[in-house]
Amino acid sequence: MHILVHDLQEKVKTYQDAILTSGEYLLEKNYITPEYITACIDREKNYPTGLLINSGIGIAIPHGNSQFVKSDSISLVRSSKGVIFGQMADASLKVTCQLIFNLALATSEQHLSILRRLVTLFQDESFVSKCQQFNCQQTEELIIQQLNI
Amino acid sequence: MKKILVVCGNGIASSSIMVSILQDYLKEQHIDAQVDKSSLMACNADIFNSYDLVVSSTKIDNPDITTNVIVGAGLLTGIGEDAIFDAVKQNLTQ
Repeated sequence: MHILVHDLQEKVKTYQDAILTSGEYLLEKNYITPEYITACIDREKNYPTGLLINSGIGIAIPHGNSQFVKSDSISLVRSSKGVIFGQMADASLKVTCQLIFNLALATSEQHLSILRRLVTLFQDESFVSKCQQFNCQQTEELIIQQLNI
Repeated sequence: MKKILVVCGNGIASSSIMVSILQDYLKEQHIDAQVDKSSLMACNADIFNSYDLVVSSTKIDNPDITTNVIVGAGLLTGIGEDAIFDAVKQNLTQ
């Protein structure tokens, strides 16, 4: 499992652009095929993945078809101002997301334990605030350490 | 045995996580139930209605569904998790 962490430029304001950017980092590393990005954006349109978590922070977990994934990876992109996503529970509601975890998983079943640890970490305020405050390298190391991968 | 169907947009990540959390809860509560997973796109009302309970990541607007549907996105955030568990338990033990 590869973890990538980057900061979004301020001009990135839409979920489409945020997913495109996070996907381009995966593409750069050859972890996905280009179709994966379109698949994620299309899915997000119909079935949004924004989550409002306890600390009032928004986290989105866009993901797409596993057939376009070459190597299991998570691309986190961070936005200080936030990017508006639809809410998973109710697509008509919006949530401003500061952390966008693009999940590229070739075989979801095998990575279930990692995904479960990840959502448990979303409920940990200290983890979430570190993910926002640390630099990209530190955040990457923190996630790898916390996910035990 | 009661049957639960867990669904999300594409049946990949969110539903897998919800299934795993629900299975742990059911085990802890000593409730025997079959938990299946699918995607909203792959399911029609007939499939939903063949289950005793549906737990969906998102709300479903389909008047043909007669099975109770619980929105389970809170299982991923922890917000309202207890209310979701209570509703699941109530639906399975009624």
